[in-house]
Amino acid sequence: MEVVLYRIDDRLIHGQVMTAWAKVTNANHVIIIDDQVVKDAFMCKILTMAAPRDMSVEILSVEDGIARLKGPEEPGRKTIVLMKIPAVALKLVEAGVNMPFLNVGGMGAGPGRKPLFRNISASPEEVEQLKKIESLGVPVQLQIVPDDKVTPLSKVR
Amino acid sequence: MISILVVTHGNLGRELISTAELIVGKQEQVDALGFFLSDSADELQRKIREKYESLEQGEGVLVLTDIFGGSTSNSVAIALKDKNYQCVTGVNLPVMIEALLSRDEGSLKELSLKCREVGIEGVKDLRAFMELDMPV
Repeated sequence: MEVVLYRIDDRLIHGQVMTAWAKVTNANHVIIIDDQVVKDAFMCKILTMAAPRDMSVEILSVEDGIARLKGPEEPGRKTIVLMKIPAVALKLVEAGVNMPFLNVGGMGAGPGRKPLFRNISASPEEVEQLKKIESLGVPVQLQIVPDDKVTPLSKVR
Repeated sequence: MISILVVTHGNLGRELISTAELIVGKQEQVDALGFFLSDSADELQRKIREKYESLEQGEGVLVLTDIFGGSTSNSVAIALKDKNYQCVTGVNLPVMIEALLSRDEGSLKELSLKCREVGIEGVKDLRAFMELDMPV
């Protein structure tokens, strides 16, 4: 499957931000990979409703997501993969998913998290996971919206 | 009386209320909640529930949000799942004024429908409406 963007954003699909990324990547499909969200029918409904009108949405568990991403080409489909937390991205990379780079665009402040860069906060454990992803050959880029310039992980820590 | 909560990005909601008050006078049982870059969605949901509890007087709450599909609207849907609310997205000044003026007449559902109608009606192509020729 052609994935045009792997992104961590804990707000997942939210209005104009998704529209902006879809525009620059020409994406027409979104796959959300999260073991909690997939079990929550109400959240699934809200996220599907929030997507831009011309984009289709799928919500998958980590296991199903990996199988899908490593599966056959799907002609005509350009996909954005959204995840809430670095742990999921790390699982994908460790499972051999081909990820050219990882965009980090939103991790809200919360207990145990410290500010990393603008509206992106991370716990020490999450910072380690992001570093691990980089050590496996996937550049980690902090960029909230497409108009922002890319900030490499190494610049902020 | 039906209470009104305006949930927007930034200070838009606060300003919408104070601007509407210039026109319809000082209001009660109305409040705003702003969502800023550093806030998490969980935090916004917690604040929405708090505001709801402090506003609700038994007739429900009309929530007005700025962007359908945005974090403001998504968070309202999650936070108020089991509460007595209606929500109109894409708030503008006509909607704000309508909500304040009509909240004593009829049910929460009726108020919500009326506000949506006024919001849509308020967005027009002025030149086309006036049947003027556009300059080249």
